[in-house]
Amino acid sequence: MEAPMLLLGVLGDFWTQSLRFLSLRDEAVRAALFGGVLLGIGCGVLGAHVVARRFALLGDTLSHAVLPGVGAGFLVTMTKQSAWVPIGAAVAGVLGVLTVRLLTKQMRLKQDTAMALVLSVFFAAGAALLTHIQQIPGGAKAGLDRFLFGQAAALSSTDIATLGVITLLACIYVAVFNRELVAGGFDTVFSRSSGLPVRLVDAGLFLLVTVLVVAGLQAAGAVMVSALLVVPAATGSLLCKRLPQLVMVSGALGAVACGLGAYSSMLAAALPTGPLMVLWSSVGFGLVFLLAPERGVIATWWRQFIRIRRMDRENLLKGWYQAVERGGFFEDSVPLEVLAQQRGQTLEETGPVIHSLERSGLATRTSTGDAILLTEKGWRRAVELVRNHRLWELYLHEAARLPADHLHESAEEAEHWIGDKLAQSLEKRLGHAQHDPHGRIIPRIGRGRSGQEPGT
Amino acid sequence: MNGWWIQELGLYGWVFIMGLLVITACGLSGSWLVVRGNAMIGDALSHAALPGIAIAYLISGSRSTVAMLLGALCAGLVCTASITWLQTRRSIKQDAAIGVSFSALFAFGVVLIALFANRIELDLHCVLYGEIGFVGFRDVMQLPGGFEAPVAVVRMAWVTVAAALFCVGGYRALLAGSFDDGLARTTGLGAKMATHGLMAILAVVVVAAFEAVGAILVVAMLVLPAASAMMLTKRMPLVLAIAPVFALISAAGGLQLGLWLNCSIAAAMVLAGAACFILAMAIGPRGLMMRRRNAG
Repeated sequence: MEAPMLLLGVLGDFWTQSLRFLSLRDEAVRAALFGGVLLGIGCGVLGAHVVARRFALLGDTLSHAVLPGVGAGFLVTMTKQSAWVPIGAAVAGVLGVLTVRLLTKQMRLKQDTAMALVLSVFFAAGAALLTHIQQIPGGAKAGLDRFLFGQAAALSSTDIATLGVITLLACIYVAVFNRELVAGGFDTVFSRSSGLPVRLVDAGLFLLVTVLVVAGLQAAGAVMVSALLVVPAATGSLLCKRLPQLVMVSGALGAVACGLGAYSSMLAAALPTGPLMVLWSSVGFGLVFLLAPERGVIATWWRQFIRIRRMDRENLLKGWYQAVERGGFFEDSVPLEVLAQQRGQTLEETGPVIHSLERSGLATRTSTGDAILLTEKGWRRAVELVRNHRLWELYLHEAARLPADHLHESAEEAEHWIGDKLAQSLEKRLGHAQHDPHGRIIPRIGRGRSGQEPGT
Repeated sequence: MNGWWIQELGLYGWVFIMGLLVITACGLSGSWLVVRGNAMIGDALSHAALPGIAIAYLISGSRSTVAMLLGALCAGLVCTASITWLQTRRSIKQDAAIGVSFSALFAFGVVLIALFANRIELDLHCVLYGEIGFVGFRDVMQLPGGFEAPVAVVRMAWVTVAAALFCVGGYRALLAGSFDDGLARTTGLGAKMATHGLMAILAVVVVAAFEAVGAILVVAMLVLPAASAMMLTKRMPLVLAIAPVFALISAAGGLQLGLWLNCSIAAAMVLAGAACFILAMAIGPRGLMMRRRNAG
């Protein structure tokens, strides 16, 4: 009797809390939700471009490189809330990005080495500064915890407004300069000579990312902002390829993840919002990774599974043709045992493939049930396969000058994907030859069953 | 008689030795990362270790370093496995795979620690920044020969020796896997195992170094020695040989700097290392001056 009551109690609690969340009564809830969602959109939108340029770890680099700026800003007024802190952070961030660029372009360091250097050395400078500050009388702990993990519920309305402005700017920027940004992602001679102000627009992108990271530090903390720049965009890339769609999908995913983060943070009061937002976006990533229609893991397995079954069926069709051919096309059907023997399998093992042939309408059983006939569709496909196989062998033999014993394996693969058009080009190129390198006849489509006589 | 050795060396002597050990271990294993263009994996591993440490703490109920190392090792392996698996999708490139993997793991770790705050005594501050100046030098152990040394230093020494053995001993296999994918494949098992081994060693080195320098400064120590060495030479054996020398200079210089500036000694050691890097960049045979001269 107790357990159901307990469960009801928990559910009831859950319901009340959810309603409270949705009613937006608490200021903390409003702060976390609005701030979070705005951050999510901004990070998704800018992150799409960052990830597309394979610069995904830039957020990570930036979020650590801003530390000296935080310290320096703090030093100016010795208060945590001064406006100099974000300004200092932004300056440090910009310097960081410039240093990475300098190291990669001038010093030819690899990009990852440059980023790791900037990330850690700048951070060290910041740590040195901040630990030095802590020794100064009056130098209160400069809120390093908040720097790292954020405190979304404590966002003031100015903070949220700032986030809103930055996000809006980001969206407009990305929309207006879409062409230049796409071109800039390739860094080709074309983009440089095309007259579009690609370099300038690029600089603007990185500046916006820096500003967003600084603004987001307060809401979600350093490591989490960098995560929000990567995860929603990576999720989006599994769903769409073209940049405009990617930007929108990433922004939406970021918003949802951050909203859920704010929600769950409210339900579980002890848990910090930032990491929860990242966890939700990771869950989203995981789901899409598995379930995405084209690029998802499950979709890929399914396609592979279907392909293997198709190949099994087609190999059996080919085996049927070859068996009938050996008998001079005298028989109409082939016993199941012969087919099984040809594949080196037992009757039980071949059974499923034969069922599959029947289900696909490619073959039917004879009245005795121990042999199969091909339908018109099956016959046609069998002829195609054999034609493809032998044409390909002839082609390899003639054009690539491969010896006769090197041809079979390649043809075993090629026969399944050679289409009518390619087959016709091959036939033409090979002068409509009649025989393959092993002396077997290359069948033609459209002759009907009786037309398999050589020389006709 | 007891403890005279420590008193002789003074507290700062041990700090110096700890720094030397940490930077050598990191520099040797990090060199292989830098050469492979994979330096950010050091950052990823150091963030990803967090849930491993938290879970190890929960399971073992103690702050045993061995438990933490094992936990970090497992987390590191999960992270590298995830990075590899994510890249099987063509849309996910290596940088995105790294970012997603360690971000998810780190967030998970933070949430774990918050959930079980009453049972996990991890001082996140300490994990993230470390403080070489305050490493538990009070716990001492006896060494053969009548010497005494802090337990932490001895532990780090073991890790450094293991790292050195692996990075130098596995030279051929690591080299094969670093440059030529084709060569790696034909060499077969050797190169792949070497890469897995490198990741494992890195996970251990990174966490062992946490105590001293914290999770983020570790990244500097992984990368700076090799980056500086590459301003001087192109040859891998020399790069590896320069690492301990670099460690010596940064540890000594950093200690002095930290004491002078009255700031975190670990951060100071990184800054000293950065100074070496800038110096090497400026005047090294493969550095800035040479490039300018060759280009002009």
